[in-house]
Amino acid sequence: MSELEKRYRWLLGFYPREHREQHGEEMLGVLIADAGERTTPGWRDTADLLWGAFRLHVRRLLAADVLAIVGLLGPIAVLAGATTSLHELAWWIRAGSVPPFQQLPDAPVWLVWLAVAILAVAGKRSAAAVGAWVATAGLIVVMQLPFAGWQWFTDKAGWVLLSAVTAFALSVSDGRGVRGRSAIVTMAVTVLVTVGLGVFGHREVIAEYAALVVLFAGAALAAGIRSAAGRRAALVLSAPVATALLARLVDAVHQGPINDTVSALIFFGAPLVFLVAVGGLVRLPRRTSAS
Amino acid sequence: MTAALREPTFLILTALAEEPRHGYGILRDVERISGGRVRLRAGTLYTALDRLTSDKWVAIDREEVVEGRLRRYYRLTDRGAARLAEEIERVRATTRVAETRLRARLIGGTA
Repeated sequence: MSELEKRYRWLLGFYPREHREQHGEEMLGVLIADAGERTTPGWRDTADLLWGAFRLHVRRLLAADVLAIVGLLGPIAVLAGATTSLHELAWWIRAGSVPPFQQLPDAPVWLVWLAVAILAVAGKRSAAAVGAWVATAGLIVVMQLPFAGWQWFTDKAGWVLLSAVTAFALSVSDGRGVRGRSAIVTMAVTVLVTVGLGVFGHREVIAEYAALVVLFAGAALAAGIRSAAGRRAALVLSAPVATALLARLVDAVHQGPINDTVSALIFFGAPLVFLVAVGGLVRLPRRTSAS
Repeated sequence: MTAALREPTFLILTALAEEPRHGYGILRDVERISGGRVRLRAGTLYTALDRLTSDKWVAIDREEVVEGRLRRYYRLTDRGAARLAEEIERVRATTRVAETRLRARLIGGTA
């Protein structure tokens, strides 16, 4: 195998597995034929291949069938993000006081999401989409509040990601072709158990990890792990699990606050790259060539 | 209203309008029909083909093995041909307006 072929094969390794299996050898033939006298890939070819791979990963992750599932289950899954606020609320109520705004500034956002979930389940997708964008914007605003420190950032980043993708899914997908009631019930039960673990097991390591496991497993069960679309949707729905684990990892290796740019790169960039990369590893059924 | 086709998409469909072509054949034909102005690369081509086949504008015509390598030929489907015809009509209508206005300008209307 020539050095040129070896390098092209390495670059083709960035493509989604299903695309690689179907078009890898064919693309290699085209690349080698187009290379002429070159012995290594040029930078334009390299950039073009990497950009092409990225676009195909994103396209698969945001395929219509994946978005249909996220549009159905996302509005319910997002509600698990209210756990911290609910814990705060419970604490203040037990103490016989009214919580100050600073303690749960995101409460209005979760109320909007509750309305969005009801609208989405009722099939009012346009209204749900508008509400979802408003709630997503609200969550971003809350993250910028002066008293919201970097730990707020790490806590909310995953929910912002899930909120944004859910809002997008509600906006572009009509939700046809997804199984409904059992998936909705599974997701709702998952959220209730996750919130319960988070509220009653606040700051207890086992309960907090159990909540993440329940959220991931419940999302997988609700979205349907038998289909590639279901597995991809489960990955999207589990974005908050990824950021929560990332926060624990960062906390273990770095004590103290991190500046906003680095936080954004870690807590938004890393999960996005992970979702895109892992989403591409999930095998899609082979497409037929006839039309 | 249907969105305008991006130039690489338009050129790929045009390349396939003549006859089924394999990947490298499409690259060379796109370069030829654009007068050397557009030089597609494999990454862009296969990203476009992925979308065009899923939209059923293009389909796989046949496969053959040449010097130990798989060569896959793509053809324009009826749906793809209809979309290309629609795009040609859109460009023609715009060109017609531009031509008319330019002619009026030369006559001395809005110089």
